[in-house]
Amino acid sequence: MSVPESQLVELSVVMMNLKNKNMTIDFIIQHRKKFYIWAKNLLMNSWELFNHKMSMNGFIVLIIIMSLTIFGCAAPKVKMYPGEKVADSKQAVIKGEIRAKKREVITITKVDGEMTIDYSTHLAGDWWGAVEVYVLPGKHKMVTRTDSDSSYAYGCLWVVAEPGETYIVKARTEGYRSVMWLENERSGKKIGGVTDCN
Amino acid sequence: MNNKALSQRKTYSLHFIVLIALISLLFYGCVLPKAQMYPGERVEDRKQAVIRVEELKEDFSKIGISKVDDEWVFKYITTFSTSDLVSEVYVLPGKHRIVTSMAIHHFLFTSHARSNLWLVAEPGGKYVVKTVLKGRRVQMWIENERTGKPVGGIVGSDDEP
Repeated sequence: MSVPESQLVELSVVMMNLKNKNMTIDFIIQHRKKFYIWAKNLLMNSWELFNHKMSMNGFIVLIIIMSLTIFGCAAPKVKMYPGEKVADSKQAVIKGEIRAKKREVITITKVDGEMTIDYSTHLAGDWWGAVEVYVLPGKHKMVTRTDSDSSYAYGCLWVVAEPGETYIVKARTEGYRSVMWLENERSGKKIGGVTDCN
Repeated sequence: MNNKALSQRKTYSLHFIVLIALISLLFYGCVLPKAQMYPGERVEDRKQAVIRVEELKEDFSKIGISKVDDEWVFKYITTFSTSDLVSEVYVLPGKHRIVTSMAIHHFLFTSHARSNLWLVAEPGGKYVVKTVLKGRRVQMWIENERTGKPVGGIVGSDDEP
């Protein structure tokens, strides 16, 4: 039986990276292929372990760890309107920019006063907001957050969303100040503006 | 118990209290050391820059510089110290990255914060790392002591040289 000792070492590396979501994103972007191979091998090896030696309790613990590893890094994407998801042409998408080189991630923490993620999502992946939100056309106010190595900043923006459009929240940090704005992904033009955070 | 034995016991107790006080002072009461972050002899003040950390007004708090240009400062501490932080560093002019660490001891737990800042030090320059606590948030920045204006920025900022 192939003992997945090396896999366990790799697992601990990923778990360590999970402590810092920027690192995780960086890690996944740069090593996506390696990550898939690792996940596939780990699945196969754990199945082998289950068939041969591992107790049921051990297997459950392994599955929990794996779920946390896999779902913990899944960037939250949230629909911010009630009911069924409408067609892409009838909704708008607002994304936060991920600057992997700078280990900076921008998330949307609130849309029209509503939190985008719940506490369990925050705990699972150390996320402070959603990286992508789906909204119905119309005016929306949002609170955005930029997280880098050891600092963060909040911004409050508004946009009049048009159906089928995608908007990106971008940020620029100068000294100790962060400026955030929205851009239309298709045209690359700045859109909307800043608003109060209430 | 006779008087002599009682007096001897009192003396021992006093010695014990003094010893405990001394140990406590060593561990908690001492001022953080200073470190010269370049090799060789110390250069004149006008040819180096000084970066110091402003102490917090909070009780049971400790703040200091832990890294300069990715080098741990404790390697450069020449005096006896139980801490791995320093209150002041001497650097040569140029761009430097400073990591400051902060800890506030509460009754049952300790809160920690860390900042990763950069600055371009000028010869003879004096800089101070300022800290403001706002609820659960901590803001840290570097100020030029002479002008009182913020200098440098957060590591990774778009204007970092």
